[in-house]
Amino acid sequence: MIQAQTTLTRPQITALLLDELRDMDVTIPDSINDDTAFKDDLGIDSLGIAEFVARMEQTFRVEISDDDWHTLYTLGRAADYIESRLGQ
Amino acid sequence: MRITIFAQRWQPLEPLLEAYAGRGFDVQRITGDMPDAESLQWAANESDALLIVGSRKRSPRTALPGPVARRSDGSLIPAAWLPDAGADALRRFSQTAARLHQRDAVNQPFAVLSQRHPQYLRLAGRIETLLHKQHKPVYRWTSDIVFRDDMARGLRAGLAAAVYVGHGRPIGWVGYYGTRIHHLQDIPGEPLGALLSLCCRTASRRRTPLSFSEAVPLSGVAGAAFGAVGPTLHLNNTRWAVAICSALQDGVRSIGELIVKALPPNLDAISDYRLMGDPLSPLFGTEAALTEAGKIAVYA
Repeated sequence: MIQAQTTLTRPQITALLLDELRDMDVTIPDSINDDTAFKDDLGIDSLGIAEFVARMEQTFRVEISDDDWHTLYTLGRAADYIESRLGQ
Repeated sequence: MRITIFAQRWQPLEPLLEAYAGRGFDVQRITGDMPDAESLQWAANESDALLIVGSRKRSPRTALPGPVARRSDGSLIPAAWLPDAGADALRRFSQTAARLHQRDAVNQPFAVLSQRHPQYLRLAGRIETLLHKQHKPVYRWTSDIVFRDDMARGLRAGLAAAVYVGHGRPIGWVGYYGTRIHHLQDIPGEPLGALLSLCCRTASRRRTPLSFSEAVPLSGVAGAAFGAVGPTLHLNNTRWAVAICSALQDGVRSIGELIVKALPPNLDAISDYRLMGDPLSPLFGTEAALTEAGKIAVYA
Protein backbone atom coordinates (compact mmCIF):
# COMPACT_ATOMS: atom_id res chain seq x y z
CA MET A 1 0.00 0.00 0.00
CA ILE A 2 1.11 3.54 -0.73
CA GLN A 3 1.60 5.93 2.12
CA ALA A 4 -0.26 9.01 1.01
CA GLN A 5 0.94 12.55 1.54
CA THR A 6 -1.14 15.53 2.45
CA THR A 7 -0.42 17.10 -0.96
CA LEU A 8 -2.47 14.55 -2.87
CA THR A 9 -4.89 15.96 -5.41
CA ARG A 10 -8.44 14.71 -5.59
CA PRO A 11 -7.82 12.70 -8.79
CA GLN A 12 -4.83 11.08 -7.07
CA ILE A 13 -7.00 10.21 -4.06
CA THR A 14 -9.60 8.67 -6.37
CA ALA A 15 -6.91 6.69 -8.18
CA LEU A 16 -5.58 5.34 -4.86
CA LEU A 17 -9.11 4.39 -3.78
CA LEU A 18 -9.55 2.48 -7.03
CA ASP A 19 -6.21 0.73 -6.45
CA GLU A 20 -7.46 -0.43 -3.06
CA LEU A 21 -10.71 -1.71 -4.57
CA ARG A 22 -8.75 -3.62 -7.23
CA ASP A 23 -6.55 -5.07 -4.46
CA MET A 24 -9.77 -6.34 -2.89
CA ASP A 25 -10.52 -8.10 -6.19
CA VAL A 26 -13.46 -5.78 -6.91
CA THR A 27 -14.23 -5.49 -10.63
CA ILE A 28 -14.14 -1.82 -11.60
CA PRO A 29 -16.54 -0.95 -14.47
CA ASP A 30 -15.50 1.46 -17.24
CA SER A 31 -18.40 3.66 -16.26
CA ILE A 32 -17.10 4.30 -12.75
CA ASN A 33 -17.59 7.85 -11.48
CA ASP A 34 -18.13 9.77 -8.24
CA ASP A 35 -21.72 8.55 -7.98
CA THR A 36 -20.76 4.88 -8.18
CA ALA A 37 -22.12 3.23 -5.03
CA PHE A 38 -19.93 0.62 -3.35
CA LYS A 39 -22.84 -1.61 -2.38
CA ASP A 40 -25.34 -1.24 -5.23
CA ASP A 41 -22.96 -0.72 -8.17
CA LEU A 42 -19.81 -2.61 -7.12
CA GLY A 43 -21.47 -5.32 -5.03
CA ILE A 44 -19.40 -4.72 -1.91
CA ASP A 45 -21.22 -5.92 1.22
CA SER A 46 -20.81 -4.61 4.77
CA LEU A 47 -17.82 -6.87 5.49
CA GLY A 48 -16.17 -5.65 2.31
CA ILE A 49 -16.83 -2.05 3.35
CA ALA A 50 -15.15 -2.79 6.70
CA GLU A 51 -12.04 -3.95 4.85
CA PHE A 52 -12.19 -0.94 2.54
CA VAL A 53 -12.38 1.44 5.53
CA ALA A 54 -9.39 -0.29 7.11
CA ARG A 55 -7.46 0.00 3.83
CA MET A 56 -8.31 3.69 3.47
CA GLU A 57 -7.05 4.33 7.00
CA GLN A 58 -3.80 2.51 6.29
CA THR A 59 -3.18 4.13 2.94
CA PHE A 60 -4.04 7.70 3.88
CA ARG A 61 -3.14 7.43 7.59
CA VAL A 62 -6.41 8.97 8.68
CA GLU A 63 -8.92 7.73 11.23
CA ILE A 64 -12.41 7.14 9.91
CA SER A 65 -14.77 7.22 12.88
CA ASP A 66 -17.51 4.65 13.30
CA ASP A 67 -20.04 7.46 12.83
CA ASP A 68 -18.50 8.54 9.55
CA TRP A 69 -17.82 5.33 7.67
CA HIS A 70 -21.50 4.54 7.13
CA THR A 71 -21.80 7.79 5.15
CA LEU A 72 -19.05 6.87 2.68
CA TYR A 73 -21.26 4.89 0.34
CA THR A 74 -20.07 6.28 -3.00
CA LEU A 75 -16.62 6.75 -4.52
CA GLY A 76 -17.13 10.52 -4.58
CA ARG A 77 -18.13 10.67 -0.92
CA ALA A 78 -15.11 8.61 0.07
CA ALA A 79 -12.75 10.79 -1.98
CA ASP A 80 -14.31 13.99 -0.57
CA TYR A 81 -13.94 12.65 2.96
CA ILE A 82 -10.29 11.71 2.51
CA GLU A 83 -9.54 15.05 0.83
CA SER A 84 -11.12 16.95 3.73
CA ARG A 85 -9.26 14.88 6.34
CA LEU A 86 -5.90 15.30 4.61
CA GLY A 87 -6.49 19.03 4.41
CA GLN A 88 -7.01 19.33 8.18
CA MET B 1 18.67 -2.52 19.82
CA ARG B 2 18.03 -1.90 23.49
CA ILE B 3 15.32 -3.60 25.54
CA THR B 4 14.42 -2.63 29.08
CA ILE B 5 13.05 -5.42 31.28
CA PHE B 6 11.35 -4.89 34.62
CA ALA B 7 11.37 -8.05 36.73
CA GLN B 8 11.63 -9.21 40.31
CA ARG B 9 13.81 -12.23 39.56
CA TRP B 10 16.26 -12.91 36.76
CA GLN B 11 17.46 -16.47 37.03
CA PRO B 12 14.52 -18.01 35.09
CA LEU B 13 14.97 -15.38 32.39
CA GLU B 14 18.66 -16.15 31.81
CA PRO B 15 18.18 -18.18 28.59
CA LEU B 16 16.41 -15.25 26.94
CA LEU B 17 18.92 -12.74 28.29
CA GLU B 18 21.73 -14.86 26.80
CA ALA B 19 19.89 -15.05 23.49
CA TYR B 20 19.52 -11.26 23.46
CA ALA B 21 23.23 -10.90 24.19
CA GLY B 22 24.02 -13.34 21.41
CA ARG B 23 22.16 -11.12 18.96
CA GLY B 24 23.97 -8.05 20.21
CA PHE B 25 20.95 -6.57 21.97
CA ASP B 26 21.62 -4.28 24.91
CA VAL B 27 19.49 -5.34 27.89
CA GLN B 28 18.69 -2.90 30.65
CA ARG B 29 17.53 -4.79 33.75
CA ILE B 30 15.44 -3.05 36.35
CA THR B 31 14.71 -5.09 39.44
CA GLY B 32 11.60 -4.29 41.37
CA ASP B 33 7.85 -4.14 41.47
CA MET B 34 5.65 -2.78 38.71
CA PRO B 35 7.03 0.46 37.26
CA ASP B 36 5.04 3.63 37.79
CA ALA B 37 4.11 5.86 34.86
CA GLU B 38 7.21 8.01 35.29
CA SER B 39 9.59 5.02 35.28
CA LEU B 40 7.81 3.59 32.27
CA GLN B 41 8.17 6.86 30.35
CA TRP B 42 11.85 7.07 31.23
CA ALA B 43 12.40 3.48 30.12
CA ALA B 44 10.51 4.06 26.87
CA ASN B 45 12.69 7.05 26.07
CA GLU B 46 15.81 4.95 26.65
CA SER B 47 14.72 1.79 24.80
CA ASP B 48 13.54 0.15 21.59
CA ALA B 49 11.26 -2.29 23.43
CA LEU B 50 9.86 -2.88 26.92
CA LEU B 51 9.01 -6.05 28.81
CA ILE B 52 7.37 -6.00 32.22
CA VAL B 53 7.49 -9.27 34.15
CA GLY B 54 5.29 -8.56 37.13
CA SER B 55 3.11 -10.04 39.82
CA ARG B 56 0.41 -12.29 38.43
CA LYS B 57 -2.01 -10.35 40.60
CA ARG B 58 -1.84 -7.69 37.89
CA SER B 59 -3.83 -8.27 34.73
CA PRO B 60 -2.85 -7.33 31.16
CA ARG B 61 -5.42 -4.53 31.26
CA THR B 62 -3.86 -2.82 34.28
CA ALA B 63 -0.20 -3.69 33.70
CA LEU B 64 0.10 -1.63 30.52
CA PRO B 65 -2.22 0.79 28.70
CA GLY B 66 -1.68 -0.85 25.32
CA PRO B 67 0.71 -2.90 23.19
CA VAL B 68 3.00 0.08 22.57
CA ALA B 69 4.64 2.85 24.60
CA ARG B 70 5.11 6.35 23.29
CA ARG B 71 8.48 8.03 23.70
CA SER B 72 8.69 11.73 24.48
CA ASP B 73 9.58 12.42 20.84
CA GLY B 74 6.31 10.79 19.74
CA SER B 75 7.82 7.59 18.34
CA LEU B 76 6.37 4.26 19.41
CA ILE B 77 8.00 1.11 20.74
CA PRO B 78 6.51 -2.29 21.55
CA ALA B 79 5.62 -2.87 25.20
CA ALA B 80 4.89 -6.37 26.44
CA TRP B 81 3.57 -7.88 29.65
CA LEU B 82 4.23 -11.23 31.24
CA PRO B 83 2.85 -12.33 34.62
CA ASP B 84 5.32 -14.02 36.94
CA ALA B 85 3.47 -17.31 37.15
CA GLY B 86 6.31 -19.11 38.91
CA ALA B 87 9.92 -19.94 38.11
CA ASP B 88 9.04 -22.98 35.99
CA ALA B 89 6.63 -21.06 33.77
CA LEU B 90 9.06 -18.15 33.39
CA ARG B 91 11.86 -20.55 32.51
CA ARG B 92 9.67 -22.29 29.93
CA PHE B 93 8.89 -18.93 28.36
CA SER B 94 12.50 -17.86 28.46
CA GLN B 95 13.75 -21.08 26.84
CA THR B 96 11.06 -20.91 24.17
CA ALA B 97 11.83 -17.29 23.36
CA ALA B 98 15.57 -18.00 23.30
CA ARG B 99 14.99 -20.88 20.87
CA LEU B 100 13.13 -18.56 18.51
CA HIS B 101 16.07 -16.14 18.47
CA GLN B 102 18.24 -18.95 17.07
CA ARG B 103 16.16 -19.25 13.90
CA ASP B 104 17.59 -18.15 10.60
CA ALA B 105 15.77 -15.28 8.96
CA VAL B 106 14.94 -17.33 5.90
CA ASN B 107 11.19 -17.80 5.57
CA GLN B 108 8.03 -16.37 7.09
CA PRO B 109 5.33 -19.03 6.95
CA PHE B 110 2.00 -18.06 8.51
CA ALA B 111 -1.17 -19.87 9.51
CA VAL B 112 -4.63 -18.37 9.27
CA LEU B 113 -7.13 -19.75 11.78
CA SER B 114 -10.81 -19.04 12.09
CA GLN B 115 -14.02 -20.01 13.78
CA ARG B 116 -16.52 -21.72 11.49
CA HIS B 117 -18.74 -18.72 10.79
CA PRO B 118 -19.22 -16.91 7.45
CA GLN B 119 -18.07 -13.54 8.79
CA TYR B 120 -14.82 -14.91 10.15
CA LEU B 121 -14.14 -17.34 7.34
CA ARG B 122 -14.47 -14.42 4.98
CA LEU B 123 -11.91 -12.36 6.93
CA ALA B 124 -9.61 -15.37 7.17
CA GLY B 125 -9.89 -15.79 3.41
CA ARG B 126 -8.95 -12.15 2.89
CA ILE B 127 -5.89 -12.48 5.16
CA GLU B 128 -4.88 -15.60 3.23
CA THR B 129 -5.28 -13.79 -0.11
CA LEU B 130 -3.31 -10.74 1.04
CA LEU B 131 -0.43 -12.90 2.29
CA HIS B 132 -0.50 -15.00 -0.88
CA LYS B 133 -0.10 -11.82 -2.90
CA GLN B 134 3.10 -11.17 -0.95
CA HIS B 135 4.30 -14.65 -1.95
CA LYS B 136 4.48 -15.67 1.70
CA PRO B 137 3.83 -19.31 2.59
CA VAL B 138 0.39 -19.29 4.20
CA TYR B 139 -1.61 -22.21 5.60
CA ARG B 140 -5.35 -21.93 5.94
CA TRP B 141 -6.34 -24.06 8.91
CA THR B 142 -9.81 -22.66 9.51
CA SER B 143 -12.22 -24.76 11.54
CA ASP B 144 -14.42 -25.58 8.55
CA ILE B 145 -11.63 -27.64 7.02
CA VAL B 146 -9.28 -28.66 9.85
CA PHE B 147 -9.85 -30.53 13.12
CA ARG B 148 -8.65 -28.93 16.33
CA ASP B 149 -5.98 -31.55 17.01
CA ASP B 150 -4.54 -31.11 13.52
CA MET B 151 -4.60 -27.33 13.88
CA ALA B 152 -2.80 -27.65 17.22
CA ARG B 153 -0.15 -29.90 15.66
CA GLY B 154 0.21 -27.40 12.83
CA LEU B 155 0.98 -24.66 15.29
CA ARG B 156 4.01 -26.74 16.32
CA ALA B 157 5.34 -27.01 12.78
CA GLY B 158 7.77 -24.14 13.35
CA LEU B 159 5.82 -21.32 11.70
CA ALA B 160 6.58 -17.62 12.07
CA ALA B 161 3.11 -16.77 13.39
CA ALA B 162 -0.56 -17.65 13.35
CA VAL B 163 -3.58 -15.36 13.31
CA TYR B 164 -7.00 -16.40 14.67
CA VAL B 165 -10.24 -14.59 13.86
CA GLY B 166 -13.57 -15.46 15.45
CA HIS B 167 -15.13 -15.27 18.88
CA GLY B 168 -12.80 -15.35 21.85
CA ARG B 169 -13.09 -15.82 25.60
CA PRO B 170 -10.62 -15.20 28.46
CA ILE B 171 -9.92 -18.94 28.49
CA GLY B 172 -9.45 -19.38 24.74
CA TRP B 173 -11.08 -19.43 21.33
CA VAL B 174 -14.67 -20.38 20.61
CA GLY B 175 -13.52 -21.82 17.29
CA TYR B 176 -12.67 -25.51 16.77
CA TYR B 177 -15.44 -26.41 19.27
CA GLY B 178 -13.51 -24.56 21.95
CA THR B 179 -9.74 -24.18 22.10
CA ARG B 180 -7.99 -23.86 25.45
CA ILE B 181 -4.32 -23.64 26.29
CA HIS B 182 -4.20 -27.34 27.21
CA HIS B 183 -5.13 -28.16 23.61
CA LEU B 184 -2.01 -26.36 22.38
CA GLN B 185 0.66 -27.04 24.99
CA ASP B 186 2.65 -30.21 25.51
CA ILE B 187 2.58 -31.03 21.80
CA PRO B 188 6.06 -31.89 20.54
CA GLY B 189 7.51 -29.60 17.96
CA GLU B 190 8.61 -26.03 17.49
CA PRO B 191 7.05 -22.87 18.93
CA LEU B 192 5.43 -20.10 16.95
CA GLY B 193 7.09 -16.71 16.80
CA ALA B 194 3.75 -15.22 17.80
CA LEU B 195 0.10 -16.18 18.15
CA LEU B 196 -2.30 -13.35 17.39
CA SER B 197 -5.94 -13.58 18.46
CA LEU B 198 -7.94 -10.92 16.60
CA CYS B 199 -11.06 -11.44 18.67
CA CYS B 200 -12.60 -10.53 22.01
CA ARG B 201 -11.17 -11.08 25.48
CA THR B 202 -8.33 -13.62 25.12
CA ALA B 203 -6.16 -11.32 27.28
CA SER B 204 -8.94 -10.69 29.80
CA ARG B 205 -8.71 -12.05 33.36
CA ARG B 206 -12.47 -12.19 33.81
CA ARG B 207 -13.17 -15.35 35.83
CA THR B 208 -9.79 -16.90 35.08
CA PRO B 209 -6.52 -16.67 37.03
CA LEU B 210 -4.52 -16.50 33.81
CA SER B 211 -5.81 -15.43 30.41
CA PHE B 212 -5.32 -17.52 27.29
CA SER B 213 -3.00 -14.95 25.70
CA GLU B 214 -0.82 -14.84 28.82
CA ALA B 215 -0.70 -18.63 28.98
CA VAL B 216 0.52 -18.89 25.36
CA PRO B 217 4.09 -17.62 25.99
CA LEU B 218 4.21 -19.08 29.52
CA SER B 219 3.39 -22.55 28.23
CA GLY B 220 5.93 -22.47 25.40
CA VAL B 221 3.39 -22.37 22.56
CA ALA B 222 4.82 -19.12 21.18
CA GLY B 223 7.39 -16.49 22.01
CA ALA B 224 4.69 -13.86 22.12
CA ALA B 225 0.93 -13.50 22.03
CA PHE B 226 -1.37 -10.68 21.03
CA GLY B 227 -4.89 -10.49 22.39
CA ALA B 228 -7.71 -8.25 23.55
CA VAL B 229 -8.46 -7.34 27.16
CA GLY B 230 -12.18 -6.87 26.52
CA PRO B 231 -14.83 -6.98 23.82
CA THR B 232 -13.74 -5.81 20.37
CA LEU B 233 -15.54 -4.63 17.26
CA HIS B 234 -15.32 -6.66 14.08
CA LEU B 235 -14.33 -3.46 12.28
CA ASN B 236 -11.38 -2.99 14.64
CA ASN B 237 -10.28 -6.60 14.17
CA THR B 238 -10.54 -6.06 10.41
CA ARG B 239 -8.43 -2.91 10.83
CA TRP B 240 -5.76 -4.95 12.58
CA ALA B 241 -5.94 -7.76 10.01
CA VAL B 242 -5.50 -5.41 7.05
CA ALA B 243 -2.76 -3.47 8.81
CA ILE B 244 -0.88 -6.61 9.84
CA CYS B 245 -0.87 -7.85 6.25
CA SER B 246 0.32 -4.43 5.10
CA ALA B 247 3.10 -4.36 7.71
CA LEU B 248 4.25 -7.83 6.71
CA GLN B 249 4.59 -6.57 3.16
CA ASP B 250 7.06 -4.00 4.50
CA GLY B 251 9.32 -6.82 5.70
CA VAL B 252 8.95 -6.71 9.48
CA ARG B 253 11.15 -9.14 11.40
CA SER B 254 9.71 -9.28 14.92
CA ILE B 255 6.32 -9.19 16.64
CA GLY B 256 7.09 -5.80 18.16
CA GLU B 257 8.00 -4.31 14.81
CA LEU B 258 4.81 -5.81 13.36
CA ILE B 259 2.56 -4.32 16.03
CA VAL B 260 4.14 -0.87 15.86
CA LYS B 261 3.89 -0.76 12.06
CA ALA B 262 0.36 -2.14 12.02
CA LEU B 263 -1.13 0.20 14.62
CA PRO B 264 -4.57 1.31 13.45
CA PRO B 265 -5.25 5.05 13.66
CA ASN B 266 -8.14 4.82 16.13
CA LEU B 267 -7.33 4.71 19.83
CA ASP B 268 -9.94 2.12 20.84
CA ALA B 269 -8.54 -0.44 18.39
CA ILE B 270 -5.12 0.04 20.01
CA SER B 271 -6.13 0.19 23.67
CA ASP B 272 -8.28 -2.95 23.37
CA TYR B 273 -5.15 -5.06 22.79
CA ARG B 274 -2.03 -6.10 24.67
CA LEU B 275 1.23 -7.80 23.73
CA MET B 276 2.36 -10.68 25.94
CA GLY B 277 5.79 -12.32 26.10
CA ASP B 278 8.91 -11.37 24.17
CA PRO B 279 8.34 -8.06 22.34
CA LEU B 280 11.31 -8.89 20.09
CA SER B 281 10.15 -12.40 19.24
CA PRO B 282 11.37 -13.07 15.68
CA LEU B 283 8.78 -13.79 12.99
CA PHE B 284 10.60 -16.50 11.10
CA GLY B 285 9.95 -20.16 10.56
CA THR B 286 12.25 -23.14 10.94
CA GLU B 287 13.86 -24.75 7.89
CA ALA B 288 11.51 -27.72 8.25
CA ALA B 289 8.39 -25.63 8.83
CA LEU B 290 7.05 -25.92 5.29
CA THR B 291 7.50 -29.68 5.23
CA GLU B 292 5.90 -30.13 8.64
CA ALA B 293 3.01 -27.76 7.92
CA GLY B 294 2.37 -29.56 4.65
CA LYS B 295 1.63 -32.74 6.61
CA ILE B 296 -1.41 -31.24 8.37
CA ALA B 297 -4.64 -32.84 7.18
CA VAL B 298 -6.92 -30.33 5.48
CA TYR B 299 -10.43 -31.42 4.41
CA ALA B 300 -11.10 -28.79 1.77
